[in-house]
Amino acid sequence: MQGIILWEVRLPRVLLGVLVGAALAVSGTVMQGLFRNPLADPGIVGVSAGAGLGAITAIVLGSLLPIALRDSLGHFLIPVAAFFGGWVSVLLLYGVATHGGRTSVATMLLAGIALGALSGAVSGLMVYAADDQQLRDLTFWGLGSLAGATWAKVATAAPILLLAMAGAMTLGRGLNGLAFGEATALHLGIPVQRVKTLAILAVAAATGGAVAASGGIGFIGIVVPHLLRLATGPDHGPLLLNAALLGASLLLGADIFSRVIIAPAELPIGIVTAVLGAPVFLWILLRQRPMGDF
Amino acid sequence: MLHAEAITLAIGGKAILRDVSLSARAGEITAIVGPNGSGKTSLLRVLTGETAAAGRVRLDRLDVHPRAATALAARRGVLPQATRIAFPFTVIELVRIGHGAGQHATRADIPDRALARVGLGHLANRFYQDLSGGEQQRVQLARVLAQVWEPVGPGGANWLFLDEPVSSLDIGQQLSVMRIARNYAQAGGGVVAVMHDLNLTAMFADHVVMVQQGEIAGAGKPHEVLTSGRLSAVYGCALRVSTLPLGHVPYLLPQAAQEFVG
Ligand SMILES: Nc1ncnc2c1ncn2[C@@H]1O[C@H](COP(=O)(O)OP(=O)(O)OP(=O)(O)O)[C@@H](O)[C@H]1O
Ligand SMILES: [Mg+2]
Repeated sequence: MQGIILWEVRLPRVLLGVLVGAALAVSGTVMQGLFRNPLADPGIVGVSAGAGLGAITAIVLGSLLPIALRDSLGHFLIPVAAFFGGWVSVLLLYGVATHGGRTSVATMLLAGIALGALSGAVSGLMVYAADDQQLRDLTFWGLGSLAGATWAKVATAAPILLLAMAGAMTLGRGLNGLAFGEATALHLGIPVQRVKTLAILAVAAATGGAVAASGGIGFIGIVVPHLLRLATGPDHGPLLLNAALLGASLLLGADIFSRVIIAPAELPIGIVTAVLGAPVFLWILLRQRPMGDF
Repeated sequence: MLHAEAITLAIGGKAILRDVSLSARAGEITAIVGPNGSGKTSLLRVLTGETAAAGRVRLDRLDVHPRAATALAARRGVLPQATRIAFPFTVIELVRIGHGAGQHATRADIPDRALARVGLGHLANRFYQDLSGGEQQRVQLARVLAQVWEPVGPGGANWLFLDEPVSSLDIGQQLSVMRIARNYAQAGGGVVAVMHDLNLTAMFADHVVMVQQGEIAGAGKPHEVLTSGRLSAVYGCALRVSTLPLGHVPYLLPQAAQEFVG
């Protein structure tokens, strides 16, 4: 009996936590490098909401898809839809907030708010259109927790998240260059366009995969890179790898905490990460110097 | 040899550069001078492959173009007019990023030597954002030097492209940075520098290109280009150039300028 619990319940949950935590931290790191700002986090600037909209749309309207397409995607339908939702969000955000290689922080945050609100509103509309079974799926998914972890879920999330992280790990030099602005990055020999495209895809896949697997778990993407920059400096080479490790550990820790603090009941993990992360976010805002407005 | 032919650039329908041709030789300092807004920075951007423009730019046998970024990074470093950096990098981390982009990335001593060259070795572990404007400018120069440390590499001469390298420096540092540029050129490297200080230009440049409203208004040796007549016409105020008895070095005192009349 204990063996079954360990194998069927605990282990997939741990694995999903590791994958999702690492992916969230890495996507935050990449996004901050891309936008050249420590406040750019998929959760804060509406990318997670966009991915969520993609996932909800897939749950509610997935039945309208041609059967051939639905069958070929199988379990991957929801994460792929979340990836597209996230992708469109980052593209929109980057297009609005960045001009001539410079990102305006104010525009980025405001556009992120608008994007998040819009995605949230459309997601709300989708809920109206859902039937009973879909509503159950949505509620289950929207809990934003690792509680629903199964081997099937791990198997679906793993390829997407691992691919996204592998892609992100190649971006160290490129993101370091982008910290100087696009022109200097080019002079340093960095293929700027390719780096930006890959960064946007990696953020979308990591965020989309994580959101599809566990709903919106916030603040990992902002806390982890920030702590690491304080510890080891802003060099993206070590930063990306360390972010994956610390993100995995942090989410795992938060998950354990959420299970034991009011046992036998369970605290939604999003609450734990928010309590941890929101103060850090405010702290960065306070410390932000004028130079941060790149 | 840097060779630009018939460069024409328009941004948003506005002509910025019109039919600009110029050559710069390795072993020399080529200065680009001209009034504010005349197109010096835009020209430098085309010469470094940052901006694509009509016409043709070649660095030896390399076609200079944004797509050639990687090949170009091994041959030339670029100091922009202004650089802002995201994230709190320390001075030495920043110089190492430049170093890592060049052809001597395996020689670990270069970043420290580049920093010492600009006289800032003692600031290696400070945060870049905490430095003064002039110190930041010199750190950026060290970053560029670290990228193309050897004036001559396996592919031929290496190049420095500097957009107003002394604009926020005190007079001692102005001279020392210009000497760094001269040493680089004398060792066989190429230097192209956008300059506002005409006296420093006259002292250090081997070749001067004067730009006016996006067109070449003169090119040649300093004493050929920096004449009272041409300067007065291009800068729109009466300027009188004098000459030091030794050699042909012209100099200019703002005190000798009169309001332009007519
Ligand atoms: N991206 C752009 N969009 C529109 N106009 C531009 C752009 N870049 C430059 N210009 C215009 O082109 C002209 C030349 O600009 P440039 O920066 O090359 O001047 P400059 O000679 O370097 O001036 P300064 O001495 O002030 O640095 C200016 O009139 C400028 O307004
Ligand atoms: Mg300029």
